[in-house]
Amino acid sequence: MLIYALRRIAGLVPTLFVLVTLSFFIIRLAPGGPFDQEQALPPAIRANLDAAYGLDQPLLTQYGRYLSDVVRGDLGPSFRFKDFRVTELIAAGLPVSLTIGFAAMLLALLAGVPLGAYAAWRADSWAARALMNFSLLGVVLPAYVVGPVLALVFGIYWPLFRVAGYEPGDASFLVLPVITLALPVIAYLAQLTRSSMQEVLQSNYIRTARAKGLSAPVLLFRHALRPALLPVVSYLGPAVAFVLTGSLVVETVFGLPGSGRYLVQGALNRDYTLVMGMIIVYGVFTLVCNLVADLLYGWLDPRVRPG
Amino acid sequence: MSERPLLAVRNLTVTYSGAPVVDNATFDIAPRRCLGVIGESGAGKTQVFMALMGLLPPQARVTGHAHLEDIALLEAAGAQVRGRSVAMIFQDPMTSLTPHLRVGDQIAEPLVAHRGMSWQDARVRAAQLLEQVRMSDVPRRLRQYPHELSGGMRQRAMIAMALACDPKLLIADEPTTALDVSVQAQLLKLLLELIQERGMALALVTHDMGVIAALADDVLVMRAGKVLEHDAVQRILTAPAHEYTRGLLAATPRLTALGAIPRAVQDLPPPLTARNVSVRHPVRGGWLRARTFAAVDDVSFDVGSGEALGIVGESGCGKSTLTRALLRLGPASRGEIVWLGRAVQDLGGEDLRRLRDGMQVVFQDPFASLDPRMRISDIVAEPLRALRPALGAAGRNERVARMLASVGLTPEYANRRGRELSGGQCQRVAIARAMILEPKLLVCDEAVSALDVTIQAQILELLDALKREHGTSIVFVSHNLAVVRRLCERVMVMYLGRIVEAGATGAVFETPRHPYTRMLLAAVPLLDPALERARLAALDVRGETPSALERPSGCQFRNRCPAALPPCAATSPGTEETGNSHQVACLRWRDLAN
Amino acid sequence: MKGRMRAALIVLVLLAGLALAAPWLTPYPHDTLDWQHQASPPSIESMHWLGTDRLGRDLFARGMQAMRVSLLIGVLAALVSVCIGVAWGAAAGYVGGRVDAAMMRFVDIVYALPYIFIVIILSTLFPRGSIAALFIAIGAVGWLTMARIVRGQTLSLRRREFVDAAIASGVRTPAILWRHIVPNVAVPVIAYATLNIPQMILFESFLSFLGLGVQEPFASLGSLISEGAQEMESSPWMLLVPAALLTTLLVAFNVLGESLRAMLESPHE
Repeated sequence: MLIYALRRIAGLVPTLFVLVTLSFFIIRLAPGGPFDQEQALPPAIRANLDAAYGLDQPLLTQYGRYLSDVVRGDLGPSFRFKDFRVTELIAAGLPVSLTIGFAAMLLALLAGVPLGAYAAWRADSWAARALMNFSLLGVVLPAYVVGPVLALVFGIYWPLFRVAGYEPGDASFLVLPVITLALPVIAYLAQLTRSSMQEVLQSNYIRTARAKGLSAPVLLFRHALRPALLPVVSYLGPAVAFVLTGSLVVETVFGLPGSGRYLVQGALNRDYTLVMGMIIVYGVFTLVCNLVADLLYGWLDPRVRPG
Repeated sequence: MSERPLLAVRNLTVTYSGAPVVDNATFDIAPRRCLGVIGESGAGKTQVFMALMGLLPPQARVTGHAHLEDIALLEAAGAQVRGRSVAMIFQDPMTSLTPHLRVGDQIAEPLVAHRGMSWQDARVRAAQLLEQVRMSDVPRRLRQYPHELSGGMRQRAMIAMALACDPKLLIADEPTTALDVSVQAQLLKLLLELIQERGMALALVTHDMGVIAALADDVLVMRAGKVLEHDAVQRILTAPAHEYTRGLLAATPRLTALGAIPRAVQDLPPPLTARNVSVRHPVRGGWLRARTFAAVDDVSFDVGSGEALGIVGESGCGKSTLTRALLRLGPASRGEIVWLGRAVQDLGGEDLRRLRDGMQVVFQDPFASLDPRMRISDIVAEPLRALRPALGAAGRNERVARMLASVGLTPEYANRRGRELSGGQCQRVAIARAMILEPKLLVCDEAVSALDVTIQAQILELLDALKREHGTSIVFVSHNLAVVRRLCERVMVMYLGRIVEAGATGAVFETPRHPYTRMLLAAVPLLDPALERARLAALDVRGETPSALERPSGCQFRNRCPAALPPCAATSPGTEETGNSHQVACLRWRDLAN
Repeated sequence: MKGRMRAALIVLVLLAGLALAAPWLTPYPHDTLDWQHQASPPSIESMHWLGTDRLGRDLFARGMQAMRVSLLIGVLAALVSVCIGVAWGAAAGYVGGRVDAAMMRFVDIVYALPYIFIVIILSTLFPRGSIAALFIAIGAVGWLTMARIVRGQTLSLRRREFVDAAIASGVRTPAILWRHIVPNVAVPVIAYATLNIPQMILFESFLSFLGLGVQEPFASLGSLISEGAQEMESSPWMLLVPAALLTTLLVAFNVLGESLRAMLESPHE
């Protein structure tokens, strides 16, 4: 098991390397620099700015400098917010983003999986059918539709929760964003769990367990649950990616001071270092979550482990 | 029967959406007796017992009565005895054990659930049960997962699991069908001993007459959901009342029957020659060392004109890899392969493609061999399109029609699709497709193994006719020795990629020289119950085929060979002639011949 | 199941028809400001069937125009991703071995990264507002799932014996791909392609919502929702109209696609 884990971790390094390299070259090779938006600057000042940010060096030199900085944890200065380094900007917003992201994943798992398992077990009940219809809606609707609508209903017509801004420590600001973020994942997990559970319940080893005269709870929890969860675990990696994406929207819609906003602003302003910094941070996070999901899969399914 | 029956079934009917799969089944099983239930696919034999165990899906409608002693099985009370007084084991041990639970725990589970034992005590008892099913290395097996065990071991574990609560009746649904012949023999012997030791009744569902002869005291013959006959095994096997049963017996190939006889020496060069053919597969795992193992190791043989060569062996012997190499379909091989005088081992692309009209193939799985979306006429015409482009549409249609007729399919089949046909019909189409180019060579890779016995007999007739009328040479791969006896003039026995014995089928089967051949022959069930019981009692089959990665040194068979001596571990035997083109690869064959 | 599929199809045809016929159904073009009716709710007499926005532009006209954009982009982008995905997946699945491993590794890496980053990177490369760039950016990511599905199908088909039988019968490789592999993957491809369309529409409206996609004076359902969200306290219809349109579109496509997929999973005909 340990060797399996180490091997997977080692596999991350090349992917990370590709990620950083790819982002660097694509952004740098794009037309338009960070200073093109504003009115045309006098050439002398422009040359100074370029020199200050190292933009006049050959591409490869810039790349090398960037790599060495990244490894030391310095993601460079923001081209837009000239007094701040990217790392500071990201770190300021990260706690909020991580909180809502983590809460949303937790909610999704605790709600989606049991609902899906129930729908598989009691396949003919009206509850199961209603659940599946609802989940179709949940999967399809994007956060920027659900968010404002929820804000409208629960924030303005029935003011139960807060809809804009954020005060640290006050959870009522976070309820609607977290629900908005979690909804599509709950719906998808319910569908996934249900179809996976259904398939498991048809399998030969469940037939054997039934032939042994085992009771329904034992059957479900000891024999069916672990294999049924395998696709769910496989989905965890993409789910985290999804939640990260969704957090951009949710932060925008609900005005939360998270780090997702920076990515969008950076893209709009061609703030190279900020965009790349965000991508690296989120990329690392995604890859780590994928790794955890992989390891979890290996723990659940002994067939995958070597030896 | 003077005793009260252990199991009494009356008018059992199972229907799905109004269509009955079991129709008014009525029979008894006496205590400590074995009832063999035989029938072809679709007979309903499995459904009967699934109904008794309460394992049918919710859309099944069950009527009738069934009593295990006093318990009404088809009602709610039936759930009390499931896994206790009555237990069931299934056909496919690979998928029938829960993959993420340890073997020992799965055996202990019914004890904990039904007898209220603690897990600790239950595991101790599980170990005892594994001993009773003659499992090797019990402490290790307890802690392993199902995928780490071989097929035979998994089935033993399943049996141990079923015996945990000392059932009065054990139901076994095709328990040996998915296993090698030698493993099957071991398991049949085990079941026989367990019945005697435990005084248990056994209901054995199978399609194989040989298994019936081995274990059954009484036999139930089923067809299309109905019970046709119910009688003592001796009567059924020697003088059955029903015509269907007679047909089944007639269609079952026998090892002792007079089979194909090789023709006199031919002066023409053989259509197919293989010299020193080896196929190596890479081994998974390990970044740096690219290990390979030989799936086929230095195999040489000829096939004469109009003759069938049987290749027999159990799983892992390399026969399928060999056929793919012969057909130039699989990974590259070393050695020489000659089709009709042309060496093909180094050819590729267009050159190889043009020669393909000389060598054709029929595969094992009839449904997977045909493109499910294509029409039959297109499937059979495809080789003509590819290799006889000069023939126009009219010419093609004419040949297709002729071909379909010669395999016994009426013209209306031409417009059907692959997925609408039965297994036997698909296999006929596959043969028609293979023969439409009139090849001199035909490879049949387990072509009849997936078919019912009566259909199998018809296809064998067809292949026989091809030999006689077209002079086609056939390479016939099979694990079923009786079938090989029926069709093939000569035979080759393979073990772990090497040929261990080869010669005329009659000679090899009547005077086998290699201990493995002897073991294979001894493992084939006979159709006489008395002889069969004696055979099983005397059976000395050891172990299972090891994985190709863990080959023993010297003679590969030595750790299962009853005649192995120290020199066998040191030297790998070469091929020696024992006279009359009968060859064997064994260091001790001379001593053993006496 | 058939009933749902039919209903979804009808809804889609109606919406598409509405979107195309819109210029004849309303006197207001999508970019004209109506000074008398700024931010006014839906009414019959003013002929603003769905109300107006903050600047007085008719929401029905804008909504229908946005729907035309969404449908166009959705279908075209789905087409692009299907073509790339099928070609990639079939090649990888058929050739197998190291080529397959390398091709799918590439897919895995791109798949593991949140797609939005790729799209954002790509959309910063092109001038703002270029619709061509927009749907290349979107279609370039949508092919990944299709490639995976097609590769999986091709792999399992490749192992089936009828492919070997075809090779043994002397059929050339291109003929095998065209006559055996493609027809057998066609059905799942169609089902997943239909499911791909709403995904593309989602990507596009997401970008427009963030301000990166369709630019003024053109509207996209995403940008309309973005504007609507800002005005929702005072003019809720500005949010609800485009939200309802987008929802209906997405649900209808998804139901259609899911029904097709369910059909191919059960033994049919």
